[in-house]
Amino acid sequence: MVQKTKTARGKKYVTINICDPKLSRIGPKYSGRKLTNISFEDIIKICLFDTQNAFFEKNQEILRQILGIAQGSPSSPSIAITVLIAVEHHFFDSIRDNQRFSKHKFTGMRYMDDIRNVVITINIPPEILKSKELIEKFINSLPETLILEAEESENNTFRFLEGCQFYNDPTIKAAFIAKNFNIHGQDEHYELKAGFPFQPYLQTYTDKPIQEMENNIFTRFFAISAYTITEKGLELAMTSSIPDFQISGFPLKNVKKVMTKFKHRLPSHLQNTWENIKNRLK
Amino acid sequence: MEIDKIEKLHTKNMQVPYLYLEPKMKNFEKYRPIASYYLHPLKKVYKVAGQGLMVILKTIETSHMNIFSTYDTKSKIEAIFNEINSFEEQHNCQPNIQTYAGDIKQLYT
Repeated sequence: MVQKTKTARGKKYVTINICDPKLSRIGPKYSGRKLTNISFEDIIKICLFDTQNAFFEKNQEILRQILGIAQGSPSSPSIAITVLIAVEHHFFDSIRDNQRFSKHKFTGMRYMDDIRNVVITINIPPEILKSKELIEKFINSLPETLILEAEESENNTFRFLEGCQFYNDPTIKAAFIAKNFNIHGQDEHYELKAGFPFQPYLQTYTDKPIQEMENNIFTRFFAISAYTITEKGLELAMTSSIPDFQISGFPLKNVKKVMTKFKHRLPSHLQNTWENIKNRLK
Repeated sequence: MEIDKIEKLHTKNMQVPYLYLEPKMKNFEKYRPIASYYLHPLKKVYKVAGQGLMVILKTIETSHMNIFSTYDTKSKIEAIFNEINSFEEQHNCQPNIQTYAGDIKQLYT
């Protein structure tokens, strides 16, 4: 798979920027004290060495991990992602020219260990059955040691990271939904099942409680902006978030104040809806 | 391979990583195993190798479902809805959608 990377000068080397890893790239090292150069070959050797030499101490005994990737090692997240990308690559290759699934489009997303699959097909029962078969085939394509546990999903609606995806409702598509807000029941309702969302305003320990509260509200709006796509989704995101603010004792005037400050950070197509929601808050 | 040319080795108070358990926030009856590499002699080398591997993964031109940043979620969802729309146009029918949500247990072991 390494051979399938984009070509560049010094393509067998990676230059790591120690100060800002986002500036790291494939290619040769130029002058700079905070840069490190490492070859593909060395990366593979080090990762293999790490995996094969994972030792731990517990109760004054030295243990060796013999299965999987070294627990806690700084290189382990990247190795885990590599394994999963390889599995997915082989799976996509196996179905690409398979005539049985010629009327199917298999897609989805994964963040670390959270997997969401979407299969699109024509709306006739035999093809729908094949969609389910395709999902089963994907689950079975994982190595035996990687066990997938199904998560709550109803009506093609499910949570992913901090957001919720609605494949049966293109008017919403995706939205931030507060963890205490139930979207799967017959009635959408709020229940304190995920615990208190924020440090309550009157129980804060900081010297600047108002600042802390407004920071919390701001962080929530940032999550809403990061996971919400449509106007209807924005309405739902705020409907689910307002009870979180209320239960935390956040005064409405502060919520509105932060809403005003936050407006320009939203995509332009959501700003009118944002203003309407703010004006409706009582 | 000269490892110390890649990154400095940690040579003070070196220690084999010790294992401990931390309760999971979602369910206090479940525990997450943690190993501290803070005093591991190769911790910086492993970190650089991990970062290098991540740079390679981000440039891979192959089919996969990995999202490298949580901020990429929205664009990925938009891309899936675009695929649904083009499937609809291509087949001239309302498509059927099947979804699956899952979580890999014990990713590292």
